[in-house]
Amino acid sequence: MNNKYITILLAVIIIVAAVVGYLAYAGTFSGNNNTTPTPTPTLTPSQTASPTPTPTASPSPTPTHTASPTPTPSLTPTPTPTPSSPPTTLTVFAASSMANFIANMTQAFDKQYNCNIVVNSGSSSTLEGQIAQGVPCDVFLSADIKWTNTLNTTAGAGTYGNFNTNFTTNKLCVIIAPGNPKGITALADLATATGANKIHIVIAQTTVPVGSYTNTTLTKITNTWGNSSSPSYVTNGSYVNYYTNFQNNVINTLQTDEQVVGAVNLNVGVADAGIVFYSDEVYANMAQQTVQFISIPDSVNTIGTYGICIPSETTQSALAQAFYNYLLSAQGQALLTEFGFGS
Amino acid sequence: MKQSFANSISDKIIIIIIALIVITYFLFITVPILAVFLKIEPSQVSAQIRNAGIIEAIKLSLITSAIATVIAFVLAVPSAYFIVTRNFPGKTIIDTLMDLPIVLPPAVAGVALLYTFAPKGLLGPIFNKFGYIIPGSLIAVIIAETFVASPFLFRSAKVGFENMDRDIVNSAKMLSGSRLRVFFTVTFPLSIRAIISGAMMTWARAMGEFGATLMFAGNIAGITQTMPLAIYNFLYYDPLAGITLSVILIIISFSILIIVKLLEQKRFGAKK
Repeated sequence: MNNKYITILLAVIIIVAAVVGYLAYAGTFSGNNNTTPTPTPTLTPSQTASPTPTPTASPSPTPTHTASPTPTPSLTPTPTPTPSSPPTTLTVFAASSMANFIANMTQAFDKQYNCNIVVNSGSSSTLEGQIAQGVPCDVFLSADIKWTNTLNTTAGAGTYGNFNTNFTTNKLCVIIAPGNPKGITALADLATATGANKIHIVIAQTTVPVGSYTNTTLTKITNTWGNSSSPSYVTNGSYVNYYTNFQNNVINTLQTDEQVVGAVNLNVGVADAGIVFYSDEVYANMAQQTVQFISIPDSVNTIGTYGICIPSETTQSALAQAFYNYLLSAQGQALLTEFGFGS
Repeated sequence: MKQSFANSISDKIIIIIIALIVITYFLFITVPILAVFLKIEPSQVSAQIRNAGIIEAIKLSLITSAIATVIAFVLAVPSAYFIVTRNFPGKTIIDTLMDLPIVLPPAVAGVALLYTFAPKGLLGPIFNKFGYIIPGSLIAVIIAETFVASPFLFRSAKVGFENMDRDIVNSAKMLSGSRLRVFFTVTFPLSIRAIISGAMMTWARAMGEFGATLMFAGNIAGITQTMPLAIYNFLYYDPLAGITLSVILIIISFSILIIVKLLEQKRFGAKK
C-alpha cells in the first residue's frame, strides 16, 4: 500500500514536468519572443478626435461618445525576422503613460533595426529604483524628468554618455465616469461636497509624476482662481478653498495614471472622476471608450516634462541611441503629438 | 448531516444559528465571484481567449506557479521535518522567521528580493559574474512566487509531521535501519494529507501573486507578466478583457483545486 502513495506522487511530478517541458519546447522560455503581445488595437492615427482646450475660466465638457462596446484587441502580427541574424533585444523601461505609445511604434522600429523591444512599464519612481539596483535597462522613459535626473546623480548608476534630456511634455485633464452620473460640467463641480452630489475622486499619489502634477495644478487653481487678491479671481467664489474641498472628495490614491483610468472606467458607481494625463484622453478617444473628459485650461494646468535617458549600464548602446534619437527626431515628435504628448 | 433530533429548544436554536452562519459565510465567499461572472458575456470569453496577450499571461502563470510549488515542496518539506523533530537553541526564532513572508506586504517582499538579487544588491553581483541577471526574467517571477508562497507549505508540513504518532515511527526505525526508507514508507504517507493541502495553498498563492512580482520581476509582457499583472494592465486598455481574464483565472484555479481534492478523497477516503 505504501508504494501506491509514491506512485501517485511520481505520477503528479511526471505530469507537471511533461506539461512544463511541452510549454518550454513550444517556445515560452525563448528569449527571442518576437511577438510583443499587447492588448492595444492597431489604430490608424486619423481616428484621433482630440478637442482643443478652451482658454476660458469655465471649460466646457467634451462631447460624449455613444456607448459602443470596447473593440476586441486584434493580435499584433509577428514581424518576420531577417534571416541573416537573430534580432537583438532592446530593454525599454517606460512610464505607464507611455506604454500604449510605445506599443504602437515598436513594430516599425523592430523591423527597421532588426531588434525586439521589450517593455517594462510601471510608475517612473519604481522604474528608477529598479534601474538604480542594476536591473538591466537600455532606455528609460520617465513621466517626470526628475527621475531621469535622479538616476543620473545616483552613485553607481548614471547616464551613458550625455544621453539624458527631456523629450516631450504632457498635461493633465479630468476623466469622468461613463455616463457622467454626477453631472460634472466644470472644474468647480469637483469640489462639491453636499450630500448626494458629493463627488468621489480618484487621483494618483504625489510620489508618482501624475500625482505630483495633480498636486501642483490644484494649488495653482486655488491660488489663481480662488484667491481674492489674484487678478484671475473667479468672483462667484466657487474656487475658494478648492484644494481642501477637492482633497476631501478624494476617495483613493493610486500608483499610476493607468490605474486611475482603470478605476474610473470600471463604472461601478464608486469613482466619479479622476485626474489623468491628456495622453490618456487621446488614447481613450482612439479606443472609443465611453469615458468622458474635461480639459483643464493651460493657465492653471501643469505641463509635465518627460525625461529620456540611456542608463550607463546599457548593453545595447548603439541600438539605444537609435531609439533615443528616433524619439527626438521630427518623425518621433510628430508621432508623440498624435498620441497627445507635447502639448 | 443533521445530528439526531435535538430534544431541547436551546439545541434547536443553536442549530439554526449555525446554519445561518454557514449560509452567510458561504455567500460571503461565493457572491463576489458570481458578481464577476455576471459582468461578462459568454461570447466575449471565446473572443478574448484567443488574444495573444491573454494566452501568454495564462501560460506564464501556470508554468511559474507549478515550478514555484515544486521548488517550495523540495525546500519546505525536509525543512519542516527537521524543525519538528529536532530541538536546538533558537528554534522558536528560526521557526517564526520562516513564517515572515506571509505577513510581509507583497510589495515589501518584492523590494527585499530586489535588494538581494539585483546586480547591485547583496547577492546579485555573484550571479552577475556568471552572466546571470535575475530581475526582469522568468526566474525572477519564480523566485518571487516561491518566496511568498512556500511558507504555506512549510506550515502545513509542520502540522502534518507534528500530528504523527512517534511510536509508529520509532517502531519502524527499529525494524528497518534506513532512515530514508522509514521517511518514505511511514512518515511521509502519514502526513501526506497535510502536505497536499499545503501544496494546494502554495500553488494558489503563487497564482495570485502580484506585488512582489511587479516590484522584483517587472511588468514585461510575455516574460514576466503573469495573470494578475495582466489583469491590472487590461483594466486600463480594455476593461472587458481584464474582467474576462479574471473569469478565466477563477475557472482554471477552481478546476485544478477540485481535481486535486477529488484525487485526494478517492485515494484516502477509506481512511475516514
